[in-house]
Amino acid sequence: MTKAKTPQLEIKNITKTYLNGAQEIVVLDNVSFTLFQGEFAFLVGESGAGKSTIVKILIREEEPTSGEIYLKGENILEVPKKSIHLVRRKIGVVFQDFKLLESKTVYENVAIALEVADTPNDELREIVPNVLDIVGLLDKKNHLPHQLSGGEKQRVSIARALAHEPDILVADEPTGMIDPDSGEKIMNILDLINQRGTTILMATHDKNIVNKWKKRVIRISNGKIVSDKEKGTYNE
Amino acid sequence: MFLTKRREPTMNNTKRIIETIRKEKVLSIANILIMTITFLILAIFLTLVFATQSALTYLEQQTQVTAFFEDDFTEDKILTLKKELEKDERIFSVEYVSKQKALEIFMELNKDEPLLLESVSANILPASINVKTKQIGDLQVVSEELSKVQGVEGVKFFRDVVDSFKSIAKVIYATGFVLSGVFLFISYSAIVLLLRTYINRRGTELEIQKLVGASNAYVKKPIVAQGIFFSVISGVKAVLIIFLFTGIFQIIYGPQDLLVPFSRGVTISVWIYSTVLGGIILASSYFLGLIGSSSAVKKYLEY
Repeated sequence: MTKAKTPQLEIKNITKTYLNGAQEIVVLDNVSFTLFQGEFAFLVGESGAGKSTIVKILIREEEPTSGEIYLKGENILEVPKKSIHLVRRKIGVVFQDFKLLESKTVYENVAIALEVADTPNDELREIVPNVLDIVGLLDKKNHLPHQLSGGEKQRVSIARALAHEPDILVADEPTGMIDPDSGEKIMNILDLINQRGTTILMATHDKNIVNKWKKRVIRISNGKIVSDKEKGTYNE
Repeated sequence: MFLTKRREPTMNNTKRIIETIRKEKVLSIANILIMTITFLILAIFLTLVFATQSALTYLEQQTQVTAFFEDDFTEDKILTLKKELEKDERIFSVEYVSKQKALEIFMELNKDEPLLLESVSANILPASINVKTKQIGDLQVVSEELSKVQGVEGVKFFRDVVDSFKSIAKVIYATGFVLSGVFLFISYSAIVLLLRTYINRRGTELEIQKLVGASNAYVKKPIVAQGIFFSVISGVKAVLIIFLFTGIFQIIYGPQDLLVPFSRGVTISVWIYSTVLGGIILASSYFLGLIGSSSAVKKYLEY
């Protein structure tokens, strides 16, 4: 059962192909699924199955060959390139490699998501501590990334993704570069965020996490959706 | 919805530029130094082209046709002919050299040879007119026309000198034009390279800014502002050095105003020349900074 039946994200018939010389490589083949408001879904599959490509297409880092993606009813693929930043402000992304600026503090790394959107300073001073509190890093707001563990870096990345209150949070292998204990903490935070109402799509190939949390599992293999089960497990 | 959700960010570019210079002291100083040298070389080159053209203008001014008159062609007739020639649109100037004036010139030229001077009187020297044309190419035609005038005994016109001078002038103009283009391209490449090196160091930051929702303008404007800032600061430094050297030349030359030939019969103060040159350098620095940084930041707008 989904928590609510209002479609938040609708991916319809997304196909992505590359040309390798004369040979056409199909990365995504007619991929379709819908996430409803407040839902938490795992997107699982082996490395190279197409999970990261879906994430990149969602934030328009890559363009699909065909298909449509609706975010709260609006086709984000029709948004002109010059306005892509407006799409990105509605989708919070947690990257596997954190993508933090080493020369900026934890606070500044989170604030950057708001600064680029010209958020007024007083609003910024209110939001950043709030999201740092959610991920449990308020006491380390003045630390630089090199002073943090892998798990803490990922929590900064989550805080940054949350800062502009996105319609959906997309996490691309958020536990892929951290130890299992830190991965567990990340999952607790993501679950907490989801319970507060944010829709979450998490791409992962971490079998233990998927099996433990018993969320919706969308399985992709060779660019095709092969199964989509509520409260599924990794191998189903 | 996406297009109206938020207003575009306003950026404090000055703050970012100061922050960049503070954090990247060595690179910023190196950039400004190299760009200053580039603009100075450009100024030197422009001055060389200008000096060459001034020299050509001066030489053109010296090129003339001299028509010598028969003894029975009276001064009144010569002056009438002079007036007619001065009305001709092709003619720049006509100078009358009477028999007496010719003698004076001859005596001045041969003052060290008294024996020669004793045997010469004004009567044996012909009166003449020196004719200069506005276009050097008209000298040949004017020369032919003068030789047909009644009373003209002979016409002196160094055709070979003029022809070779015209050929050299063409080569110098063409070379100057090509070299100006080449040097501007080299300046542009140097600035793009410097800015690209500088921007690449900030590549990760720009990429992250884009991925978390920065607009192209948010990423581009401060980079372009910094490019223009570095470039114009370098241009200003180059202009100050130009004025410093102008001052030194003026001191060496003396208290009177140092003049440089500008066009035919017109000279300008070296300070006016330096000011114009400074304006060109500043305008070049602005546009090179603008174009160079816009070009260098382009790849980061693709994210």
